[in-house]
Amino acid sequence: KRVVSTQSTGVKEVFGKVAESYDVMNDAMSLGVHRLWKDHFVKEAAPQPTYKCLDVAGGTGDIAFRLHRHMRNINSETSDIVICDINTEMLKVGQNRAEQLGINQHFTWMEGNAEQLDLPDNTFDVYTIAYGIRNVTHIDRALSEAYRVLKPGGKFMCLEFSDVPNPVLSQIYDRYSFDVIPVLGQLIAGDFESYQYLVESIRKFPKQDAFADMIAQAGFSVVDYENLTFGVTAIHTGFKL
Amino acid sequence: MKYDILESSLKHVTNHGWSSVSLKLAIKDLELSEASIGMFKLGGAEIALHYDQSLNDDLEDIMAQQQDERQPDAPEVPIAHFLKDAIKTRLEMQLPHYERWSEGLALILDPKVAPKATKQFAHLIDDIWFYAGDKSTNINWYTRRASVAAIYGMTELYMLQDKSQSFRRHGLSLTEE
Repeated sequence: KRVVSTQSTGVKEVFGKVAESYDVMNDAMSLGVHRLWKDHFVKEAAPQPTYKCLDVAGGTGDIAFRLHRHMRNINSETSDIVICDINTEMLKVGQNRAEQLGINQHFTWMEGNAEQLDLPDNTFDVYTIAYGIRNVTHIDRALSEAYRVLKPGGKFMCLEFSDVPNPVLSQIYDRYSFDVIPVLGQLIAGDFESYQYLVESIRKFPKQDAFADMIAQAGFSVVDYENLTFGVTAIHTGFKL
Repeated sequence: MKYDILESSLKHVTNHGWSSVSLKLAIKDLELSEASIGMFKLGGAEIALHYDQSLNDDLEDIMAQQQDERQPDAPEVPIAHFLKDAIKTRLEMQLPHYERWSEGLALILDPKVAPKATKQFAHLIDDIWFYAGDKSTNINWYTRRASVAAIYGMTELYMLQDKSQSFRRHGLSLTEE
């Protein structure tokens, strides 16, 4: 019943295609709730103006802009935020938005791979990755890199789609995911397959506890997670100690 | 490592209380990223909990050592006597942070923290009874724990309000029962 999407569609290409309509699709798919998830995520991150933040897979800037705003509300002097993404199209969208908002001077945009960051060890206070890690081929490598670039005591935070344990809700969620989302993709972005790929990658991603184990394996301590919206999304945190 | 930060925080409690300020100073002492304060979901109350637990651990070490050192043919220590000594020893351990402990106690009774604090306290009572020689598994188990808990609680509150150095006096009178 489920059509298996072609494996050859690399992550880079998928996001190249969806970059333009990424924000619109996010709103359509989650009925706007993704904004609340992201707001909560950044509130949990609680970045202080002095913190050095790295946002990975954050091409269009959703998380980075929120991090900046949070810091700005505390003090007008804020540290620059580094945004890293594998896809230049996504980065371009983010840069344009930052320019339009007049805040681009606070960000450093870099093209890069989460599995192999071109950044020095022990640099950042906070590492965030929102809706990006499920697209990484070797999640363990991305986690190791996160560990490497964080300062001792630094915080790792991941916002990602996860498992809905409630059987009734998960059935509804499945139907919505597989039947509605790719169609929306076709109507809004003109791309059925990319969104089918996205939905499948969500199902393949490890569940909350399994992912928490992976984070601990990478060396992080005090690993914990928080479910949002019954597990549709989860926030995982860990500290480099 | 979380332990190290909490231990280091104790140095700052006299000046800054059981607070996130003390935590932040400890984090700076250890040259860690400030972001690590996120580990302490209950904030400064975690220092108080840690302090409480570490004193409980110390008491257990003392009781275990005493048990090891006891001559096999030495007379049994009367239970009331043992309890009195244990409670007195444990409460006197709090003297270094005497001025601030009433704040700490108030913090750990907060509904968010209380479950952890209660569990720690229950373990303490269990340990004291174990070393006192209690091997009962009947209904007396509950009443004995409740009674020691009550005695300990009253003695501690009395001690916190007592401005003098003569703690021995009320320790004696309460546990003779």
